Amino acid sequence: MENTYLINLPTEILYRIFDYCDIETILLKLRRVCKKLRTIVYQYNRFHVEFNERNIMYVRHLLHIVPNHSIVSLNMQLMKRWYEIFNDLVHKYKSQFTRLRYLRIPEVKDEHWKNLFTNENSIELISLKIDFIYAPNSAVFSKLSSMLTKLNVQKLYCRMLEYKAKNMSWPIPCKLTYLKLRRCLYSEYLLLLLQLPCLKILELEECIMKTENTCTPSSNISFISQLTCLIITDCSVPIEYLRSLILETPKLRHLKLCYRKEIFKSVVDIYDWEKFIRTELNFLDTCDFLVYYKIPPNDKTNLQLILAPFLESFWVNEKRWFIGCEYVLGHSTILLYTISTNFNFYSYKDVCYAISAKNNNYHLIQRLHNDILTDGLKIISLESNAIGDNGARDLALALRNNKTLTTLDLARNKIGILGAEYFFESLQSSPVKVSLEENRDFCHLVEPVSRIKNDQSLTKFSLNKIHLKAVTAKYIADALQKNTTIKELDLSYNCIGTKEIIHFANILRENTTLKTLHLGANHSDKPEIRILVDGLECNTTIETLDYKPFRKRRTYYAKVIESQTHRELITLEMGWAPIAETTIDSFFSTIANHPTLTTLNMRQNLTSIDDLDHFGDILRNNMRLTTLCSEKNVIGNHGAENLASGLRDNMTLKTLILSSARIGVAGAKSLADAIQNNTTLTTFVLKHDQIGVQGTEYLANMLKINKTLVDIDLTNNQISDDGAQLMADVLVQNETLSKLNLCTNNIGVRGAKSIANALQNNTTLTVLDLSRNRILSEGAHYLDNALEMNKTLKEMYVSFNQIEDDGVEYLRVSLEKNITPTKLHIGSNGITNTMYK
Amino acid sequence: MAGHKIKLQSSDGDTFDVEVEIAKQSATIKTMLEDLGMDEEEDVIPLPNVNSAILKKVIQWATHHKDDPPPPEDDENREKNTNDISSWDQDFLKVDQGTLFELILAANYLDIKGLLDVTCKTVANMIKGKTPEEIRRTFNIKNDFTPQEEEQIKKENEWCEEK
Repeated sequence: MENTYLINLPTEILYRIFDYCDIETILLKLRRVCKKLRTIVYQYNRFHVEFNERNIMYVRHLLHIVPNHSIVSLNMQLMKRWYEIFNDLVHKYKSQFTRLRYLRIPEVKDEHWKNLFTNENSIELISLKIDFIYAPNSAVFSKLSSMLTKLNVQKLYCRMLEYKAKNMSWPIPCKLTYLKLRRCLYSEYLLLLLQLPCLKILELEECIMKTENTCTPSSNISFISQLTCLIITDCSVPIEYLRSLILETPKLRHLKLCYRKEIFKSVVDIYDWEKFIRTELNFLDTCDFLVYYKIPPNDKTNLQLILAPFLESFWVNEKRWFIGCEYVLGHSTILLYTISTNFNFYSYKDVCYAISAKNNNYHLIQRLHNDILTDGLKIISLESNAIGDNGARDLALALRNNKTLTTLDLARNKIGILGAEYFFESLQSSPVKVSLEENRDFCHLVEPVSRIKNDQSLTKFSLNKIHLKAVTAKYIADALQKNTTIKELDLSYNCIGTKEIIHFANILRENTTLKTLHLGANHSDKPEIRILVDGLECNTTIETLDYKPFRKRRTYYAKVIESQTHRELITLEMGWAPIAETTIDSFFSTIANHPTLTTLNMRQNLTSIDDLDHFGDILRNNMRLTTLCSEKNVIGNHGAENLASGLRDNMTLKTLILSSARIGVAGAKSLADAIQNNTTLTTFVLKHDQIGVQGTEYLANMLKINKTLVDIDLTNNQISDDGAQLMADVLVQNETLSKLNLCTNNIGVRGAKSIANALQNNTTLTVLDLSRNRILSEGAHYLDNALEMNKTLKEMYVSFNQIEDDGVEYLRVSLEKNITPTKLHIGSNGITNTMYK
Repeated sequence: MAGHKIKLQSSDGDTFDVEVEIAKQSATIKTMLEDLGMDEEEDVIPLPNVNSAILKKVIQWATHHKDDPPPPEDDENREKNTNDISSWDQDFLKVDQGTLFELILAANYLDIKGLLDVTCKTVANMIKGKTPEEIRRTFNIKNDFTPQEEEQIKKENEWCEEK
């Protein structure tokens, strides 16, 4: 059979693979694959057996297949009755564990110590590991000694054992080469070296400094410790003691120290540490360490500065000991440590960012959750790490020389404007894209705001719908103060309140370039408006102020307009601000006499009949106003009359918009009469004004005479087929009208027919809106015929007219013949096929 | 010493320039260099058991791992953990089975403990959690047990079948 690589491997290599498999996989799976593997499994004699609560039953069965002498390691996990099971195992079978080298037993109870290993003559271990859960009592020391002798133990692991020198008598001679204990005193450490002459590796959690009983072994004993490797995983030994500790071990080659307490007070201590290792520990083959340094508040630590001494040739060329420097996010702590592949500390899994000096180069590296270090990172995600502004500063500094990173995600990290500015300043020329979603104070505004400060070409700026807070408002306002180019600023939909508006009012006082300010939809109330108006009073340049919700605050409008210094206002939007009676006179007279205002937009302002007199006065007196827009002010026919009388003498107004004014037939008549001979008004909008057929007739007659109006909008006035006929007549005669809007007017086939007929000879109309009527397919047919003749119409709207497929087909045919209309709006007509052209 | 190079020759005659420090991860090459005094630049070390493609992979692995600390001494209590393969090694070993097993043989021949360990671990991971039939399929092994033998094995293991 081809490609059966596995079973053709040399047996020794297969054994190596078995070494990584548990007993279950080997005996239950591999043994049953084929004859060859079965034979090899039977010869295998390096089984590692682990007993735990879960597998106890079947592992005991499996041991029927495996002779005890094929077991090299036995691992008894903590479980109920482990001791009985263990004894059972050791005694039951005739064949002994002659090749057992490693034994791990869990918590040993006091009553077990007595009999443990008393009858086992054949077990000769190398390693014994006792996993005490609690620190055992001192009785254990006397037992340990005999156990070590009996089992011929060379390696002893007792992670939880706190050494008590006075209780322990080591076997003489003691063969231990490896010892792991929890803690010992500094003095005991030296004693240990003396008592364990073969000891090569000593691993401690901590070596406790107690100066009062530092008893050094009498120095006249000529003794050379064999220790080659010392590991202290929770070290707090200061450098000077470390020095004397190491002096006792001339053969030491490997040192691993993990300082988990903050013994370093300043960066200088770190430099001392570097010097100590470089000058006094340079005989070592490996030196692994991890040290802590808590950054004092306001200390601007630079990771690269800390790393600098470790870039010396000693570190990167001679020893090739590479050092990493990590900033523990959110803890203001620096970790400095050697980087090696099997460097495994217990915690700090949350540490995410590091700079390392590997291969004599800086690399940005990230420590992933399983302590894997990677470099050349393109994307780092540091979401939800409580990095804060200081963390942002350090990160930004570290990233300054970065060449590889492209994306840095810092969402939800409590970073404020200050922190965001660090990034912005440090990374301007860098390829990194920093994402700052869900942090504090809209720190993602740093970039747009910096444009306000620096971009000289900026004239229009939008910051709407971001729900500004006071800090942000100040930030933007400060930037605006330095800006001399922005003319239009849009801050609408921002929930701007009192605290925020102060800042913008201040801008208005000092700024001289801003011409338009949009502050609409900000739910502001009286106090805010007051502040804003105070600011506006000092301003001389604002031309357009759009601040719709000046609800019931027309006195402030008046104040703005009256203000003598404020002469530039051109456009005033006053939506939703019903005007009360008390100061109506002064308000309107102010508007009427305003020197610069050209556009007045009033939406739902007027409440009483008396207001209407003033309405006309505006037009009569103000000779600059070009646009007057009144929306939802129910002025009725009386108001229309008043307006008309003002309009009669007016020579400036170009656009008049009366939407939902309910002027009725009489109102239409008054206005028509006024406009008939007017020569300035070009746009006239009468939407939702209930003028009906009769009102249309007045307007139609006016249009036959007027030579100025180009755009008339009669949307929603119930003009019906008769009104359409009247407008059709206009189209035949009038030679100025170019836009006609008859949307929503209940026009049927007949009306469409009359307009179609008129269109055949009209040469001025370019836009016709007949949408939302009922012209049906028949009406479309008439229009279609007209389009064949008409050469000027560019846009026609016939959507919502129940035209259906037939009508569309008509229009299509005419479109094919005549290419003049460039836009034909035909949606919502019950059409099944999609339209053409 | 960094930069000092030697030449390694594959079974198909190609030679590869390799830094001595990198090549010395192979105990076999290290011994050759020391015992035979082959430290002259012109000398070529023939590796007749390794073809060019595999040798190239081996050199790639050794180059990446050149700064690794020396592997710890053989330790009986070493946890037989197969989940500690670094991501670089995992990527490196995403190869077809032929290459993987040739790498094992090359690591064995060249005596590169780290590479042998990681490749054996990878194979162990391919075995773990599979039924005998799945192992056969994965490694293209023919079931050569007679039905009687099968029956007997089944009986032997009855007590743990329903596990």
